[in-house]
Amino acid sequence: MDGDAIQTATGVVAMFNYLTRVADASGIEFDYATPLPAFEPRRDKHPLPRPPADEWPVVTPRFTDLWQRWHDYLFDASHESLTWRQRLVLARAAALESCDRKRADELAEHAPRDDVDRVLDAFARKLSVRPWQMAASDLQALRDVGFAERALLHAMAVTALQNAESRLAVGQALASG
Amino acid sequence: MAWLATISRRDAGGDLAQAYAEMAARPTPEVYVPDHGDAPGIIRAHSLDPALMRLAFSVSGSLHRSTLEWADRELVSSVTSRANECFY
Repeated sequence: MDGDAIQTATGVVAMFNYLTRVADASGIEFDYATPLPAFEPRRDKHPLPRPPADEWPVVTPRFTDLWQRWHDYLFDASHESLTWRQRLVLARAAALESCDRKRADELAEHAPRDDVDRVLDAFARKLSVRPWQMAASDLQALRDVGFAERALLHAMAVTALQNAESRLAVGQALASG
Repeated sequence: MAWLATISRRDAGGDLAQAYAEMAARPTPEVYVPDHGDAPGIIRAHSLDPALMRLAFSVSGSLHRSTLEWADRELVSSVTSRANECFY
């Protein structure tokens, strides 16, 4: 495989950490017309234990121009659905659960401060570490503290994107030796 | 029915209808075209924000323009989904 193929494979891993989380959090149904038997997720699977924090890699992802636009949009401060800080509360939780020292340190000041933050933090942690257990009640918990449907989409997208970007960083570091 | 509110292609207007048309115009293998006639669920999940839909799927689309072969990309995405215990 040449450098382009390796870079793309790393991007695919990252992208599918986004897409699977949006699929799991939104509760969409399997809808491809495949002749293969449907995959049955093991919903009782235990997440792999995370290594101690002092062993986490300190890595920074390199984004393509398209990826950067996606990132800038989801972390833009002008959306009304979720505040900028609420986005960073979600991203911090996702970075911590993804063992991403660099991003978690960057976002350290955005630890949860109030009850709404704590609901967002719990949502992002579950979606990051055991997405296969997501349920309708996880979205309802966000509605119950006042978030509208578009905010729910943004909450899962920000969380999923941070999961993707933390893995992109690790993958690129591994690929470059 | 998804847990998140979504807008079907049939009910879409304005910018969302345009975004759905752009998604449908992308080259898509037959196996990834659902037989319910609506946009695929993963795209419909983004229907409350057409700008986000365009951005997310522009990145996923860009991963198809590479020397990485189709079968290898499918293998990598399948393993990633399985590690996440996800049908998608």
